[in-house]
Amino acid sequence: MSAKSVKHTFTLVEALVAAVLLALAAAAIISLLVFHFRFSHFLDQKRVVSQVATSRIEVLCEMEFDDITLADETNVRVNEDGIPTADGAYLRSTTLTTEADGGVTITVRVESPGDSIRTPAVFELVTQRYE
Amino acid sequence: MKARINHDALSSDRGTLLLVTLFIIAATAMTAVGVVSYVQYEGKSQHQYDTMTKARYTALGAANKITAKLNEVPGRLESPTNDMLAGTIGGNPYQVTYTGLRDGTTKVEVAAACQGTPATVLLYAHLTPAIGGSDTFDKAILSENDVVLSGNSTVTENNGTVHSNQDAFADGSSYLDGNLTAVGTADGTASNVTGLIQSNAPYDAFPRLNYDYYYEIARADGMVFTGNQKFTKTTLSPPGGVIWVEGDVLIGNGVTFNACLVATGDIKTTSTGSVFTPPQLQDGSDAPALISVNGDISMTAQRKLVGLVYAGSGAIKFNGAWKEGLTGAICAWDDIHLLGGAGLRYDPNVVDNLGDGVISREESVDILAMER
Repeated sequence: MSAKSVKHTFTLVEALVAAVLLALAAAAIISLLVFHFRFSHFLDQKRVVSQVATSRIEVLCEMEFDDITLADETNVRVNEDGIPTADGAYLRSTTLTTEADGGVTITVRVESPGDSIRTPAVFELVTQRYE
Repeated sequence: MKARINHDALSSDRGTLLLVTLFIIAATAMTAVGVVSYVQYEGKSQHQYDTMTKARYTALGAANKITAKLNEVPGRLESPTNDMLAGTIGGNPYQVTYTGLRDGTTKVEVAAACQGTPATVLLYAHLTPAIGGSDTFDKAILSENDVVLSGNSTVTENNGTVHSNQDAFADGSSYLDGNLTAVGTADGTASNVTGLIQSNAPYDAFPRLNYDYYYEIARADGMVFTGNQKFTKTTLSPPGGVIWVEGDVLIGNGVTFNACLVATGDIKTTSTGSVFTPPQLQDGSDAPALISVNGDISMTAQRKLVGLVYAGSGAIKFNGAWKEGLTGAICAWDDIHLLGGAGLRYDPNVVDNLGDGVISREESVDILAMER
């Protein structure tokens, strides 16, 4: 075998190794991007459910104490502004627990939609109100 | 024509492709590290925002609870209940500190935490006392701490109640013609306590005197003494009926006070035989006999005393028999101890009309501001 043909063989291997490495790198970067987009979406959802829960609890904190009992709700569909709509993407629940000293513990739970790809974001906020 | 391959050029390019590939991979790796760091940062920020929001609403809930409890009983600003000091809401703990400010306002700091992330809400509250009241001094002896009757001491007349917001103890040598009650343990026997002996009794709020009222009367008469004082062979009968001492008071021989003695420090006796008989004050109210604002009262076998003996933050100790009697009621924040034959004759009539000298429990609290 001549020296020139050795040089040719080396270059082919080199090209193959480079192709494999690039393929691996591309696969890694694609999965990273997929993870990034999914996580970003999850964080966006997290922000929305957090804001929906906060605005709900703010409304309950401003409400007349006697009217709070009317706020009990389970899995009400709301949009990202917290307004109840039939096609709202978020599920909101408000639980009211009367304490022994007359106070009311308010628990607001908001959940974003999830499926096999998207992880649902959940946020639960608790406070107390007294007359 | 067959193309000729320049093998020397190929030879010089050997490894270039790998180098370029490695460079691309390195650049990709750096980008990936950047993306991962960014994702981590975003995740942490969101987590911190979530926990901070939860902590904040825990603190707000606790502040709401405290406000409600203060509106219910304003005096709790000075003696808060346990759930006004610490607790949990939604599994998140909160702690409350009360700090008196110079202008009389109380800063209420509600600190909550969620998974280590803190949040604080501040309240500024002011207690407005209602001056004058009729719901105080209905006990022969009342202490926020312990009461001890020992050494042949007696409490007699008018079926008075001896009450402690801690423990009350009347030993076998003492005699109580009335009730012995305590929020903790009331320790006495039917042979020396004629009335009810009740442990775990309801808390009785400590009554507070309106010191300003007595100071103004003494000041008008020029009866305000500055610094520690020792009185010997002295008779004082100020027209207003109040003597005010800014400091400790030592009482020696032959002292007669036809006045209420108020000392900001301790009141003690160095000998026996003095008389403390305050008159009714100008507005017709009963004058207390002795008041210590910040100190203790400790006296041995004097001649006569009529009225309320009150220690706003200290203890009271009466030792020895009084020649003409110790008549009225005793009230102290710290312990009260009667011994050596000291005999209190409970007389509600000389302590039930303190007029503007008493701060009613019917006070109000104003929440001046809230920082969240």
